[in-house]
Amino acid sequence: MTHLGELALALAAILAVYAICTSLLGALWRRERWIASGTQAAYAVFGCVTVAVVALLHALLTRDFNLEYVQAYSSSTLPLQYTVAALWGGQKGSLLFWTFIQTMFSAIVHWQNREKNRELMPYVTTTLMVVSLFFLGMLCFITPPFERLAFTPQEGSDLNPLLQNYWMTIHPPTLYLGYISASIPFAFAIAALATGKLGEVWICTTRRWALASWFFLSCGNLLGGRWAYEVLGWGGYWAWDPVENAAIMPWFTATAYLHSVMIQEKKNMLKVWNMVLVILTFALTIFGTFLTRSGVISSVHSFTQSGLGPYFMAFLVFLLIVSFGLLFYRLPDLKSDNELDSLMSREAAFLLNNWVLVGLAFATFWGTVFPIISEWVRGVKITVGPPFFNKVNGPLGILLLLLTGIGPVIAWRRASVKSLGRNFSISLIAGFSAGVLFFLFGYRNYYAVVIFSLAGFVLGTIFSEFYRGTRARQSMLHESSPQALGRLVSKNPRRYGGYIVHVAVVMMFVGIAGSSFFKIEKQISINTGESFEVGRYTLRYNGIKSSDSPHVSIQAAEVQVFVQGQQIDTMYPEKRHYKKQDQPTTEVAIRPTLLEDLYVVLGGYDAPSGLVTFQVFVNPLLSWLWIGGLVLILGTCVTMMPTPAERQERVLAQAPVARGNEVAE
Amino acid sequence: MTFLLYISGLVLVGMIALFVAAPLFKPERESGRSGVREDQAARWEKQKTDAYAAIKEADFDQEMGKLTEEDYRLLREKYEARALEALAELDRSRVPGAGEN
Repeated sequence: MTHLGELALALAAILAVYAICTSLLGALWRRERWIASGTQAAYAVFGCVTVAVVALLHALLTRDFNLEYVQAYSSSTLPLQYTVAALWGGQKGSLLFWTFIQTMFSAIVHWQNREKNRELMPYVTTTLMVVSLFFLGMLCFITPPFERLAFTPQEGSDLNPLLQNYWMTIHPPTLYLGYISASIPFAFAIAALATGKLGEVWICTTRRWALASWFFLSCGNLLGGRWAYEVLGWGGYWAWDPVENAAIMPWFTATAYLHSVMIQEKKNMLKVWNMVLVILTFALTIFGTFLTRSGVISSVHSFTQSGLGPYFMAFLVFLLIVSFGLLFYRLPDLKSDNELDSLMSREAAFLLNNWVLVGLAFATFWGTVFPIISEWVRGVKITVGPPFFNKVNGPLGILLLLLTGIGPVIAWRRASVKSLGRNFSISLIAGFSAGVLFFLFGYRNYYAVVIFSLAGFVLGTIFSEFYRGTRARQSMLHESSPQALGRLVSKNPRRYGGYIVHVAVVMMFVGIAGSSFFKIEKQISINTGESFEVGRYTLRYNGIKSSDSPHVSIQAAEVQVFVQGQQIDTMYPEKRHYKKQDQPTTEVAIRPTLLEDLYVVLGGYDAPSGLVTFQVFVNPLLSWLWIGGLVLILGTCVTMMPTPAERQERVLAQAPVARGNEVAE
Repeated sequence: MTFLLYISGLVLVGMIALFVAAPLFKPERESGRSGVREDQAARWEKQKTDAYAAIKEADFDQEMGKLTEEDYRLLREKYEARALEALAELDRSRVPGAGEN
């Protein structure tokens, strides 16, 4: 089976080269049949890579320890779900998995456009196949996943225990989906630049892909945060680790693009800027992969050191040269049709939003690469820690929150002072009330009160948008309130889905502010039967319970939780010892509520004395971060719903006879 | 076993070669003008529906008090012109023989 996998990868690489040649030459020399053959080759590449993935999965599930990858990342006692997750748990497998998604997306795009965008598609094929070929080249020549050992070990080394967590089974694939789907708008942008078809077609075609990429990047980052929160046991979820930064940078630029593309659609402005954002987003995904796999930075999330760095860097430079070369070539054709009329307009607010987001991406990029640059220049690695990122990105994030409230309401072109007063009255009252309310509740931190006030302001804006929209429909179309609200959303899902996403963003800001500014932390060593207090809780330690299996031994501390003398829960923080890797891990116990999380870590256990060490955190409002994630999913789903115009197009496309009759008439 | 492996490998390669090469032996699709005409018709159709949607949105924004009278008038004029242009082009493309030259 593994030989078949090797053969499939080699075939996929050859087919990718064939697809590139036939598509490009077919487009240049106008040979339809060559282009069609290139498209078939793109489908075949996906088929071959699927065979390779199945082969590696088969080797993992059958515990073929003669295969170097299987031996290094699994064991005979590894549970099934983590054996499957081992497919992306190591360097080689994750590259294969990446290539699988890349070629799958490529096949989907070709299927979606089989009767559309005939001029763009050959160049889309070429671009996507160049990207696929890069990864296939790595798999065939640099880091082959089907490498065999000289002997067959009896047992595997097992998957890293930190990865044996359910969030880890979905976090990397989600992030990969986000990274890789960014290649689709990129491919269409390159095709638009290559053909000179710079109108709205490439933007409309890739709208859902761009949104999907942003959605998966959002979910990937959130799931990564949740994984860190549950597994790493330091009470937090985000530490501005280089690999975390690598995942958030394309999210910033993708968010900027989703906003600025609206300006291009409405006002035919920012054409160059949108191209730059699409190119940057994809380049940052490759840069992030370089960071994770090159070994130039140390991170809890990164793969072990490897020699892949120079290849990724060379590919990144190649992509940037080609993309920006084409962009400069087409600059005269990308002039805006309109200009910014006033700084008090929605265009200006969106532009400012873009600057802030790109500023966030740049600050994060700079902080991430600074240790590398300092080592190159001065020979000393100067580490940039969370204080730098919090200091720079914190105020920018607050400004972004403010713009989230202003952007949707302010008028296009030019807003009058009168209209500003009318449109923002509810929002300002809501913002002021929220600030006062939180102040009265005892949240007395300058930054936090500003964030809570802005959260109220944004929620006020969104509420007034829904309210006034519903009222407008009622007055124009005489609909009932529920009917008007439902149709308001279904008639313009993009706008109102976007507002739901903004509600999610507000929730996340509240969660981040609460848990950052008002966190309570305590470390204590106690004996069985003793109690201690943290925040409003009293915790009583009742002893250790042990369990053992061939895979892992577990020691769980029983902790009773009391509030004002009443027992409200019993928690079981654990210390685990994974036998194959001889590695201890902590399994935190979390008691989440809407108001705060109680987070208990079993830091250490000394059997002879019976003394245990606990680290306990109270994280106020943190649940809102995760609830915000769920609302974000809802909002994005609404945004992806077809608009009435798209529904009409589909109906027309499905009724050619009726359309023909209409034409005949 | 090795023989079987070679055979299955050869079958795989053969099937892929057939699949990829199949379009090369099909008659060349009439790509030129009809394809371009289809693309253009779809483009005008899209411009029409987009312009209608933009007009509706402008009406709605006006009702919500987000647009000044002047902005509303300018927006309507702009999108009405785009809709009319698309309708005229669509009518022209539906007349038999139009665009053949």
